[in-house]
Amino acid sequence: MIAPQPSVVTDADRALVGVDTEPGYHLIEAGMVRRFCEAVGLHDPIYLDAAAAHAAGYPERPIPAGFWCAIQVPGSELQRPRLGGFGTRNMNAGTEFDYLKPAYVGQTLACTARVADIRERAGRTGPMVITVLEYTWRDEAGHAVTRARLTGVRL
Amino acid sequence: MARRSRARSDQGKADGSAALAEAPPARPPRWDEVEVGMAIPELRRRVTPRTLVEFAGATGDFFELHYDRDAAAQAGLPDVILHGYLKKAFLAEAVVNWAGSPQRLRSLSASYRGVDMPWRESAPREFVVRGTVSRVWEEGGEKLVEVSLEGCDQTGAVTTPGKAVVALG
Repeated sequence: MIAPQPSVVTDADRALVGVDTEPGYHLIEAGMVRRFCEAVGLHDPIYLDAAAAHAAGYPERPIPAGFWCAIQVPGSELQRPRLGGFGTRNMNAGTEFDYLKPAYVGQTLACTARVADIRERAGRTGPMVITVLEYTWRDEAGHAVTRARLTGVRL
Repeated sequence: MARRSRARSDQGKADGSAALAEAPPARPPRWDEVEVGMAIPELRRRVTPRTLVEFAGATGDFFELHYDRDAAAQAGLPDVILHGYLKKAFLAEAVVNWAGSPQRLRSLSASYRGVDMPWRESAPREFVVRGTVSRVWEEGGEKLVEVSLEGCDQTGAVTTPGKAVVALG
C-alpha cells in the first residue's frame, strides 16, 4: 500500500468550485475565424464569406463547431479560475461542448468560467489532480450560446 | 525499405497542409431514414507540421509538444503530436458534413486517449474519423441522432473517441 500523501489541492483551490469568474468579452472577429478555418482545412464558404452564408440561409457567417478553443487565446479577456500551481504537466484529457444557440461572426459574447470539479488521485508517478473547468458563453441578451467542460489532468 | 508515399487523389494545397477533398453529401439525411448502425462518411486528414503551427497560431496553444521535436523527444515521443482540439475539429467536421449544417449540432465530446503524429514523407500518416449512428430518439420537440465517433491514427487504432448529438429534420 502507498502511504497517504499530503493533499496538493489547497482549501483555496476547493473554494473555487462552483464560483463563476467575472465575464470576459469576446468579439467573434471574421479574421480569427478565417485563420482557424485555414489551419484545419475547413473550406465551406458559409464560414468565410457573408454572401455565401446569406445564400445558404444563415443571417451571418456561423461559427465552426471546433472554433471555440480559438477565442481563449492569450491576451483575451477571459478570466480563468486561479487554481494552485500543482504539477508540472497539464494534459487535456477530454472536452464536452453543448451548442445551445447559434452564434455568428460579429457577435460579442460574454464568457464566464468556473471550476466544476477537482479531484486528487494517486498516480503511478505521484499525485494526480483531475480538474473539470466549465466555460459558458452568453450572447448580448444573456442567453447561453455554448457551454464547454474541459477535463484536465495535472501530473 | 520501400518508401511508399500514399498516392491519394490529393487535391489539397501543394504544401500538404490542406484537406483531401471529400464529396459533399448529396443531401442531408432525414431523421426517419436514419437507423442505429448506419455509418457516416469517413473523413481523412493529412496533418503536416505546418498544419500544427497554423493551428497553434489560430488558437494560441503554443505547448511545445505540438511543434518542437526536441520537446517531444524529452517527453519520450518519437515526433510532435496533434493538438486535442485539432482532432476535435476533425470530429466536428465529419459530423457536420453528414448533418448538412453546423447548426444541427447539439453537442460534441471527445476524449484524448492516445497521441497522433503528423504526416512525414518518411512516415505517411493520416488522421481518420469514422462515425456510426448509436441512438435515434425524440426529445423536447427535436428529432435527435447520436453518432459515436472514432478518431483513428493511420493504423486504425482509436486515439480519440467521441460522441455527437445532431438534430435532423
